[in-house]
Amino acid sequence: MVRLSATRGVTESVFLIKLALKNLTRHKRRTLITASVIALGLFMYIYIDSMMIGMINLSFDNIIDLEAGHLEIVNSQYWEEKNELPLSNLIGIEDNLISEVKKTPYIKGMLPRLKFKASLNNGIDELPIIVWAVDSDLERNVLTTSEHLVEGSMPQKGKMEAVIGKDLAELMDLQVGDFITLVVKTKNGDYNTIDPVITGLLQTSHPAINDSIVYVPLEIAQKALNVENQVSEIVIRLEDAKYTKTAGVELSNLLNQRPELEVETWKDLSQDIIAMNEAQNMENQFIISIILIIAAVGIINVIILSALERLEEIGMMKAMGMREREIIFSFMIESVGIGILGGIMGCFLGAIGVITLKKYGIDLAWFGFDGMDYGLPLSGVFYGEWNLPVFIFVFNFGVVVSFLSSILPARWAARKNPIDAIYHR
Amino acid sequence: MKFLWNIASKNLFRNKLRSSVSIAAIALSVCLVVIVRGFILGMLDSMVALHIQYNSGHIKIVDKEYRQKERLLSLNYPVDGFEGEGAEEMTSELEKIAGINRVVERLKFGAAASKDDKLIGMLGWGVNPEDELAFTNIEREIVEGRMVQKGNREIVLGTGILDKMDLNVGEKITIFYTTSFGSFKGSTFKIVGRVKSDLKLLDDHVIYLPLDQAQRILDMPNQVTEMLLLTPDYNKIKPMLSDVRSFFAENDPEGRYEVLGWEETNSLIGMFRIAEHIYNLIYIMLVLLASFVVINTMLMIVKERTKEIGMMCALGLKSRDVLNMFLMEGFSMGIVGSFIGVILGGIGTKILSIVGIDYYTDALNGVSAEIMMKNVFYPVFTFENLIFSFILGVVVTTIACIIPARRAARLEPTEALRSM
Repeated sequence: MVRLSATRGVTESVFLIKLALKNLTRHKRRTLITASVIALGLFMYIYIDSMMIGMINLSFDNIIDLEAGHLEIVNSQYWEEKNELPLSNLIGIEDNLISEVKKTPYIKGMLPRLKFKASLNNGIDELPIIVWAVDSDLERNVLTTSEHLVEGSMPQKGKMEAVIGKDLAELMDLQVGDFITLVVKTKNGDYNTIDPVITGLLQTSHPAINDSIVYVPLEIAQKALNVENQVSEIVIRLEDAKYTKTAGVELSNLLNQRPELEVETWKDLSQDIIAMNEAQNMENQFIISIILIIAAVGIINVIILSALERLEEIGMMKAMGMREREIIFSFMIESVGIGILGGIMGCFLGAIGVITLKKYGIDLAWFGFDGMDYGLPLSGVFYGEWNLPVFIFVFNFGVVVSFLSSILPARWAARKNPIDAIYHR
Repeated sequence: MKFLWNIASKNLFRNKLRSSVSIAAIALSVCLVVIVRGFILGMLDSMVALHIQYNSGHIKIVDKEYRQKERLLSLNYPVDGFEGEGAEEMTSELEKIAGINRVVERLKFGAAASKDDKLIGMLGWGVNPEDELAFTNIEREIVEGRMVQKGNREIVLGTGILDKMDLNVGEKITIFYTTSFGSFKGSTFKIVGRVKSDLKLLDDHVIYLPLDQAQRILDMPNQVTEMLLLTPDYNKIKPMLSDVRSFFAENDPEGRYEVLGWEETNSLIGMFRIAEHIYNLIYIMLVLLASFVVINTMLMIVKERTKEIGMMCALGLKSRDVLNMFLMEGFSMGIVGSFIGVILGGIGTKILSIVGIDYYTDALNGVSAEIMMKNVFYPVFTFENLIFSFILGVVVTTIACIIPARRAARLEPTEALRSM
């Protein structure tokens, strides 16, 4: 008996679903118009999302490849005021520290780096800039800076040489072979100068490196600042970004003899970008919500129109014993059908959008961002990325919205009195 | 014609539910347009206002060389009058031009201060305090103390710098700078005010000192680095701009100085202007989406009334009249819907323009100081915005109704009568 009613339930729902699908194809144009509103909303979400992932990835790549590597070892007190680039709370480079760090799993290279503020003087003008003092030989294993040289070579160990960004060189009228003066403040609080010759020019997709960073050899800077063998941070490159977390934990364990040191990941350095990404995500969700609200009104409209059209049918079915619940169900299936159709269309359009974004990319110069530093590690062309979860998310979102917005009008339609409904006209 | 209006308005009430769903859709989209547009206008207004106040004035006068390397803040290319007669003389001549209300002189220079082993870079602004107070909203942003006064060795600092230096209003600060002759010097000033504005530029970079003091310490008597001219209305600077340009062509034949309207000095604002056009398309699209609802409804109505239409055609109504009748129906729905939408949206923007939207707090941390954006946005409530959205709603809805209306107009009376 139980089995029987269960089978009956199944056949009944199959029947109702069939009915709903037939109803859906009765007004193909109406169904399509409503579905396309949903599709448009989903398409825009997918497109903007892919664009933003592309931008974020380029920013992250820039941070990892040109700025921070995967992990950084810093003094915890230094980390708190890292934006000021102080010369206190530095890390002394000793052999046993190096050998400890080298035990990090998946490590590819390490780079001790000293960062400080200075004034760049070309004999006429002066400009505040930031100096990164590194050993170029070590840097090659950690950062990709040297691949972005457009002219000349990286500074050699122990020599009075410097490399600057191309934009900075243009601004200050400097060329390879020119001498510059860097006015710095030493650890003791005195002023000192470094007078290197420019050996190379850089052009990267990281605006800050192009227009406000000067690279000099580490020993030269340490001597000029009177900081002996100390550095601001140790940058570590791993074999792959996916090991960041495990290697970070391991490294913290290796360093637990030195409580003053802490390990930061590249993500800790990208907080600003992540926050900005979140704000943009919010904007994106706002857009999709607006469009889907309108789509919901469209669906309500479709249900009401269909119900008005089919009043006689509904009355007849009711008279023949169909229950209200079943009528509601069939209308809801109908609107879910619209949602699914819109979802498929939207995902399809979205996929096309992502493919073009991935292939052709977007040049920031089109938006007028060319050559200007807005504080983000981003310039040039960026490409879209696939994000499968977003496709699934928007599809479900579209279906759920159509499902929810059909509840009220479907109930309204099913509540009509069969007699009134049949004698409608 | 009047008869058609009568039929159209009667038809609207034939199925009240159906009409009200269409009207609700239009109202919703128009309401959204009002709010979104108010928000965008508010954002742009605040950016333009800040840009004008702290960067460009309405018209900016700088040395040509200086402009190319503005970031350097070079003191070698000052504005010191025509043939070096002095900035003050130039100012008084410029003030004589009709439509120039005020000339704001600024002397910008790079400066630094040190705290322990840290070197803090700053942007020194030598200003005429009265001009700044009258022109910018700096008075509101000074949360403690007061603005500097002419002739005094005083300085006003941003709260970010004060925190970093661990200093307070009332204490003294020594700043270092390079004079126009290239010598490195330091001077001590008394801190008389603290600026807290949410603007990175003012909070973390700019220091205000009286113009005469800045000129004295930098060895630049009667010289400034830029002059900002103010007109009665920044949207109508064109005539003044050409007057000032011809004045400069006369007095400065070698073209040493550049005369720039406020739109020319900020690429971001130009970008936003382009973005405004894109947004206009988005508004149209929003209303168009809502019009889909109307189109759907109208298509059904046409089908429902096929017989009627056939009858009317048989009685002599031309197909043009049928088209008009349906357009009128759409038009009336557009008017009612847009009206409701504008009222709701107007209330919404009015509330938001008082409360503000705290939008970017964390997101703006990483942005450079050159972008002058505040964390909290205030959408603007303007009647222009309401009227724009209303007209947009009515026009787009009516145009969208052409599709079903044409369908009705194309019906053959004989066919139509036979249907159903």
